[in-house]
Amino acid sequence: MRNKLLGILPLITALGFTSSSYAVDTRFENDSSLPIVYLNVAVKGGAANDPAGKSGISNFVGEMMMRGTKTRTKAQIDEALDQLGASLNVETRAEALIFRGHVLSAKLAEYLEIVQDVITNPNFPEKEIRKLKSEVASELLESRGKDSTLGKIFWEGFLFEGHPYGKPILGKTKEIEGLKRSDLLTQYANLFQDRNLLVIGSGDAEASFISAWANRIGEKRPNGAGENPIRVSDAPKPPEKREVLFIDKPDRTQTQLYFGQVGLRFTDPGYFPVYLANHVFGGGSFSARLMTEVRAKRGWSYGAYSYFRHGIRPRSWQAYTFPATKDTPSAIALVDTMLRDFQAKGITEEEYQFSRDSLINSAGFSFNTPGKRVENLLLEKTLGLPDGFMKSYAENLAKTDRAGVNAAVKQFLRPDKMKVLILGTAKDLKSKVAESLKVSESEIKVVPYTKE
Amino acid sequence: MKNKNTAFAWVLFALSSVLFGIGCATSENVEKSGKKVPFFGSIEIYRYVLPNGLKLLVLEDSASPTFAYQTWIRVGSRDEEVKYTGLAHLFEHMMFKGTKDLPEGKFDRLLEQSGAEGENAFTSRDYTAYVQELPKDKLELIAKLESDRMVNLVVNDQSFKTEREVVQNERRMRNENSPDGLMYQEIFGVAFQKHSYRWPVIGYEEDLNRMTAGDAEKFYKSHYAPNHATVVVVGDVKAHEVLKIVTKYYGHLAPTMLAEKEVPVEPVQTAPRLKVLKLNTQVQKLMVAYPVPPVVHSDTPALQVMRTVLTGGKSSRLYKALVDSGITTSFDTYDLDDKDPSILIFMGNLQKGRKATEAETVMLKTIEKFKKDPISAAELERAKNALQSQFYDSLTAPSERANFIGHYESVSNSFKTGVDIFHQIANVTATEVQSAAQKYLNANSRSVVMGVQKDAK
Repeated sequence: MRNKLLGILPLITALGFTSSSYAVDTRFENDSSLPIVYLNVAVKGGAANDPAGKSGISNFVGEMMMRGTKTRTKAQIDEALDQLGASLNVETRAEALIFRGHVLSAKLAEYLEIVQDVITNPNFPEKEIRKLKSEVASELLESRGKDSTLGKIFWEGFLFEGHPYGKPILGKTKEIEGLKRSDLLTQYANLFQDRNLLVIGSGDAEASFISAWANRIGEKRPNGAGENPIRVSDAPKPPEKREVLFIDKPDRTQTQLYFGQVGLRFTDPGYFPVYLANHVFGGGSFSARLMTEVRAKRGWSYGAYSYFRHGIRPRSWQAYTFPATKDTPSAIALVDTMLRDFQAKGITEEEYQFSRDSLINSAGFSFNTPGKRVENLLLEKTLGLPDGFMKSYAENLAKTDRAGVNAAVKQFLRPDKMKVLILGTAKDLKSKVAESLKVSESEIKVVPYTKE
Repeated sequence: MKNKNTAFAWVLFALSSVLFGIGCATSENVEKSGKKVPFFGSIEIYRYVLPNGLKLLVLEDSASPTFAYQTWIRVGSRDEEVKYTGLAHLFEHMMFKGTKDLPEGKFDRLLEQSGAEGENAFTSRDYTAYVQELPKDKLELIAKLESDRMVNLVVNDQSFKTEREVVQNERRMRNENSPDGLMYQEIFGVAFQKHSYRWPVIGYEEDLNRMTAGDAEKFYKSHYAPNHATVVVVGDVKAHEVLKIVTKYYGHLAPTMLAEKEVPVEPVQTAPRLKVLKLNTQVQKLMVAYPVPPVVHSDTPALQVMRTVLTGGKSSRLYKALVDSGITTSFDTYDLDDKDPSILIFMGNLQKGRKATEAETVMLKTIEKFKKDPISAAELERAKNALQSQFYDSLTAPSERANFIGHYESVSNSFKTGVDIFHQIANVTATEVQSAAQKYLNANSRSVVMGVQKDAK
């Protein structure tokens, strides 16, 4: 089975990336199959680097950078980008801020000139700060209507209480309202230094052209005296006992349900064995245990998964499903039992062989297009992973054995100490949830869904 | 439940099955009648039709030793009957159950173990598609599995009931517990009074509860057959080899009578319609829909440019009038690409404290101005550049190219429709854009859904 993957590798390594010798780390893959260029300008710092009391500032800075430079107003930037048929958007992660865009290759030079202006000359006009505050406040209100988004925000805040990974990307309304222009300038100065910058892209352009452009950005953003915000310094503390949080939202006919704990880093020794075991338990496969038991056999939910979220420090591992309200107590009890069973007994030989084959045989799909290779590089560079790490899955999975996988699962999972979050209607469910989890109702903390 | 054209369709089918006698299904014969059709740039697509009516489209692309394999069945919620809404989508779920020779769960396991990626399916108003990507040496495996479930599916009562509950949960997620989902459902319900586009693809709760395994079986036998399907293969394959394998596994399948559904024509709308939804939301929402022609209509390129001038990008007319002015946080349109006359939907989320009525007033005023004042050359160029960029952006991966081909083959009988729209956009004039706005953005034919807070007065 592994030979198929080996068949994929030589072709892909033949396409190559270029790297800049200057301070801005630049990777660009030439791909002339379409007359279009994809560009990402990233800084290695994001929402986890938001200072205390200023949650959302990194995202806010990114958005504001496109709302006025020293030579262009917001309207001029918008018009210039639209004129080219180009896109430029900001994506904020816990440990990265990424300007993403694409442009027709015939318009690339004009596009780069605008992007350079946005990255190196933002002006943070007061009028636009006021407008953006109103938009963000409204988006935060709007997100309360989306149960999956809301559940995810509450889950991260609950699991990482007091840790930078718990900071909401968009921030909290009051903290956004309190941001001043001087705060934005400081955060910009901290984030946008050449040692933090990455330029990663692909498309119909010469790599040397992109590299020269990246160097010009680096020259304009030399390492300053500002604090280097890079790296979340401490790992989140694992929960010491099971805690249950109920997010109370009226009229729900379906709940959002999370069980989870602090995860593993990509480079931790136990990562690949647990990754393989997770594929058996709930890792996206239609044949996985959670999907089989919760969805296929019982029809309780449209989906049931378990997955890692990654960071420079160990981040999270969670099981997630969204059953009908009527089935939620049963689903909670079932998932809880399955987690304990998974930790105690591990996976069978048949499950091990199946997952190993599936993962190794499909590993090539994680880097079979220029777009996926760009995403891998962004992850590797922003999380400080070794070059080519994302291509090493098949090789690392092939080194596992079932006994090692089960030992790693036993050591890693802590079902008794997992945090549990339910977003649903408390009056319909609280007592039943307590019964399913075998805790008293007083041990379930209930907060309204409108609380930030 | 059966429509009136059944008998006529039977006659046509009987004739066609005589002409295309199953015994003629050799790949050599089909290959001779196949043709290469230009896609874009120097890329060409091989197009074949098997004697049993199965369409096969192959795009050779050796950039990676993989391929996308998609099966598009020309049946969607459009083809459902009243009181049986959601059956096409529910049946899509059933297709992952067992066949006569393959027990339930085995289909997924065989594909996953062979390294398949992105195994999934989706249902729209006009079609149902089954998609996956595989390593290049798995073509025979997927052709065997897909051809098997096209005709040999076993629909048993227990698995039907469980899957129906899964679909009810999907409906709760997409619609019942989602303000946006409810808005989207309602805008079709308001804009259409006769046509089957009026109900949601996922169906109504009570209709889903009413359905039985027998209904699913009947639906399967009516709609799943080679002469109602298109197989699209994009990737590191050779067209003649694909044809050989597809002929081997599908060539012997008998076509079946496919009743052409008599879909009611939607009457012309002469007065605006409004529905206010009380939602579990803390900001108001607005959707406004205008009737537009089917995707094959000659006005489609001008309509694409029109909607881009209005909402494509931050310098577009409605973005400036509504988002920049602080009324909404977003303002967009949904694409126009349905088989039958459909709707163009404008939608926005209001900023805190602002009202949907205010956004609608500003939107209508902006559109009226747009209809009167000629658009500038710069605006026209901007929209064309954006559409060109979006076109290429939608075709970067093999699975995306297969999606494009399958979609247009299903809604218009030819992927060339999508390519032609793209080329025609380059020649659209400012006058044509304005004419399209005057013709289609008629305030009296609009349908409006406003989502307001539950406690709003």
